[in-house]
Amino acid sequence: MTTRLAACLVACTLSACFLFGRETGRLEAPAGAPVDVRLGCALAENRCTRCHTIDRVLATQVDSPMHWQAYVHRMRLQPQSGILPDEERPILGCLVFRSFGAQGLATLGPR
Amino acid sequence: MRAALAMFVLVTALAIARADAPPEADKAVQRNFAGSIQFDYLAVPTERLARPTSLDAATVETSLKLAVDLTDHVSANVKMCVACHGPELGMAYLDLRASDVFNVRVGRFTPAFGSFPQRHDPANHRTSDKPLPYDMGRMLNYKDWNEGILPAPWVDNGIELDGVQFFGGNQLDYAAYAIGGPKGNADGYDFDYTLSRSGERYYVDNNSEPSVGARLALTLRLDDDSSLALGASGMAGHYDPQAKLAFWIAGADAVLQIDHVFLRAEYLLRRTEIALGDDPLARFKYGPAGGRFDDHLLKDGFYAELEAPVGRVDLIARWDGLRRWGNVLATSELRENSILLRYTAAAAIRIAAGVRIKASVEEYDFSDLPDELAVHLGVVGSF
Repeated sequence: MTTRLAACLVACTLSACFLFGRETGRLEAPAGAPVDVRLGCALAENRCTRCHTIDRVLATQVDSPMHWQAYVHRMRLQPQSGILPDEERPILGCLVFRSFGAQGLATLGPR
Repeated sequence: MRAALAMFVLVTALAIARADAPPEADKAVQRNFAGSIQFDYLAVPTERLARPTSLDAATVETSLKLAVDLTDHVSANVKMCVACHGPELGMAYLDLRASDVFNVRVGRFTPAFGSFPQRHDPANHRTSDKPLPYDMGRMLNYKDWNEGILPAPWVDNGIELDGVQFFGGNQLDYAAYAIGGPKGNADGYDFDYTLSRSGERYYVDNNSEPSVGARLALTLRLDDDSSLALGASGMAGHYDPQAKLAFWIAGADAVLQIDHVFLRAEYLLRRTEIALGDDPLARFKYGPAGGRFDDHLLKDGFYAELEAPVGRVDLIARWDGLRRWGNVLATSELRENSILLRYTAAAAIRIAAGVRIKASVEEYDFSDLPDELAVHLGVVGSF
């Protein structure tokens, strides 16, 4: 019984690896993104995954750059977020660029 | 005491209202929906019929959360959860934030205790079940052990003052709160968690006296990608209707992050007074020691967990345990000193955006009960 269960478990997990698409699960900056945005995405991936998977970020529905701003600010103030005040802007830059492109980034104004 | 608390809340709320500038014309109220669904199948191959001792087979945990930023200083969170014991409100609170270092949280929430509760949502942690100190009914023989030390998420009505202070590359978090607290009966032998989710007993404090607690956590930046977070938590109060049976819980936690690899460890200790009753000789398994019965029990628990991503797969190795010292009911399978150790190997495989397969094998080593093997296979999705 135990062997059968273990075999089933291994079969299911291996199947899952090959049956589905190769999702990266990374918070990647779009091609052609400025260096600041790329660095911001790497930073976001490191900080956000302390408390939750990066999927939470990828699935977030926002309707404006200001929306991301409020969201990131709220997350920074979570206990043990590890997001320093001066890291809020680079992370925001990544998320806004991914959602709204360079035009959206411009609406945030200068740093 | 209560008048002083109420006055403090009022003054704080007024201070925050004053600090809150009128919303700008182009700044709309921001809303975010999020949710998760976890389907998990628990098989216990060492038992022909595991249901009498565990919530085995299929379970579903689901949640739907709405977070609203009303202004720069005020936000609201409401989270609905449905799991083994039906629909519950996991969150219904307002955050009134005067500044980074001073926030007032009022409503129904999970008070700041330990590190794991912040990741309690099944979509946020990689194993199918929770570490033993925070177990909420998914461990084997959960009735004998009465679950963990403080089941997560602990959801309660109350008020919490919290804040974040950054200095250099480091972060200091604090929280202090007053909540309804755990509940039990007048002839209390331990917490009765069903009373905390019983509509018939109302979702209110059972003894007119809040339980209080606090937490302090320090996150040290080691380098750009690495950090060490250390925390200490405490909670105390009375849990019976007459407010005579006291309890306290203390906890310590550490999280080391090196790039995307996490090493986590927590320790929780709870002292709980118990009612001896009119006839302790008949009620308890063990007689008096030194001419008197012990009027309390001690329970502690720990976990150490390593989480390492390898491509789309997160690998997890966990070692956790529970110990219990103190008299037990005459009908209990446990002894005066009982130990449970558990060894877990797990994998969470990302198969699509927001969707993971979770698989784990757990070996239970009970001091007083037969050792068991448990196998979890599940799917979790976040949106």
